[in-house]
Amino acid sequence: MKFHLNLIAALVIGSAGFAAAAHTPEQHAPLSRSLQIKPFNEETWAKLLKTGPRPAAYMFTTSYCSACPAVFQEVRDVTSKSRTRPELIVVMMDAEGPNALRHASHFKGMTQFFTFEGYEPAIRSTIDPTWRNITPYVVLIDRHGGIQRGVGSPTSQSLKQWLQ
Amino acid sequence: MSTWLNRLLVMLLCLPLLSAWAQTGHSKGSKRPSLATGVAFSPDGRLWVTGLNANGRLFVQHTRFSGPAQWSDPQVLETGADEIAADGENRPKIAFGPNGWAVITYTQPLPKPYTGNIRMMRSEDGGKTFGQPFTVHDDRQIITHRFESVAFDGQGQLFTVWVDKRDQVKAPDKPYAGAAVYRKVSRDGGKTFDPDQKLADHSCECCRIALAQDARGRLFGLWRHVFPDQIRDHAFADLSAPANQHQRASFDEWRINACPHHGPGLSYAPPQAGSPEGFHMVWFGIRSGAPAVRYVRLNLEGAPIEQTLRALPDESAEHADVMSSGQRVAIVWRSFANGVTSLHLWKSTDGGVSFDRGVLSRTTGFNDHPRLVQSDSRMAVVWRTQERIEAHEISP
Repeated sequence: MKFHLNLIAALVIGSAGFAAAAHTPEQHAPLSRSLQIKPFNEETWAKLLKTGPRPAAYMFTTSYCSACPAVFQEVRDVTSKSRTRPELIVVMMDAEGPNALRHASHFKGMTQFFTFEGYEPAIRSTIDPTWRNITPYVVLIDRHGGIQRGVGSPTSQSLKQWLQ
Repeated sequence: MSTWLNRLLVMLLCLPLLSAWAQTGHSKGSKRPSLATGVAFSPDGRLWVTGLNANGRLFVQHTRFSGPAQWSDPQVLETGADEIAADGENRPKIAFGPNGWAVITYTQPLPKPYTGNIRMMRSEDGGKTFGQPFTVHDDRQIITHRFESVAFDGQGQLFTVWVDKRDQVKAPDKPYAGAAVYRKVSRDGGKTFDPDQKLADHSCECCRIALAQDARGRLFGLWRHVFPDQIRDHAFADLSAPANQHQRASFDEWRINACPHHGPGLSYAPPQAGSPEGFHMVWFGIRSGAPAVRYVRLNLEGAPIEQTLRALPDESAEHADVMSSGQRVAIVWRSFANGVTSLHLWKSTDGGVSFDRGVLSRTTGFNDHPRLVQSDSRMAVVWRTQERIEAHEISP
């Protein structure tokens, strides 16, 4: 599956008022300072689409995904050269608590960190019913709410479009 | 419902049998149940399971597999301070051999991400008692040694195979795609071992390895492999073969640098009209943009017989397994839709030429991947949910 434009043109209604996705200064802090783990359940994705930050990149990852750190770095490197400051959000699907933090060390520069709370296929189906548990699964939301999604590395064209 | 399904002896063996603590396994310090469970028949025909209980402790249980289940009390095994992987494709396993030999293996995740050790506990009294766990591989670097599989061959040799990254770390400046598959062989039930031996370079890093024995008792392995240009198809090999003597077994041409975490299934296939002796294979892949779990028959060398290729009749199918006895073939998988996870059976009585489909069970909570298990001509599927461990016999 290639990284592709999603048919869904997401309607992003606003950005204020959703505590779980709130964009606060401390969440931009480096990983080494403090990192708050936020729960990601079956309701979270819909809320993030409505009121979450944008532009934003969501990387869904797992504790065994050794391909994920390099893909995250590719996305981060692109954003570091960009005038916009998109949120870089990592969602750990199979680990929680200290075990999740252990793996978070691979994602330096992320601005928010979620972990799945609940039955993984059920949560996954709220994000994309056709997505098997292949990781990394990356969702790019641009400043207008347009969504691109796919597994593996986003193409340079996808990243460019995301940051426009 | 089809006639074979009507005849299906669905023996819900278990069930109230495991006490609640044993049913809702957890990793230490985790709220998420760790339900990944290994299953095997012992030589006397009892069905065994091993997994984690609610306290994250490794246990074994067994039952007779005729009539109502009478599970033994869970036997908690002493594993010291080991953390034990029991989630998804990484599960504790149990295998029985001759001379009362039995082994349990598991991956012990280490503090550094993506690292682990393959640990083994052995028994010389048919599983009544198990010794202390020990690390199987000679290589003791803090690197990936994970996703092990274990089986005895027809001569009683014990094979342990696993995903190993020693070759990647050996030359950090040189790109090395994926990991490698290594093997370890013991001729005395795990008391002593040959040195670590490489089976193949460039395996995928995070998928289970399927093992199957042919009619002569030789063991074969099937794993997701990283072919040139990051194509993640499957490779097949005789476990006794020299390194890198594998055969490509799938041709999805799935080019992706990602972790599918979706390993294949493999089972021996005797000759059948129109098809030579070989193997049945199931796997997940994306072919021409279409994701699916697919079935194909392999020849004895592991090459697919393309005219037997077909997708399972469920777009949501995940984590399929396959097993066969003579011309009977059973394929099981789970799929999630509308809040319910279902356990599916696709069954053939003509060597995989045609299949009938049925649903064996459903659950709304956490659940493990379904596991097929076999003792001679008897086949069963074991499915652990948050509430119970189900065992369904697949009737002739």
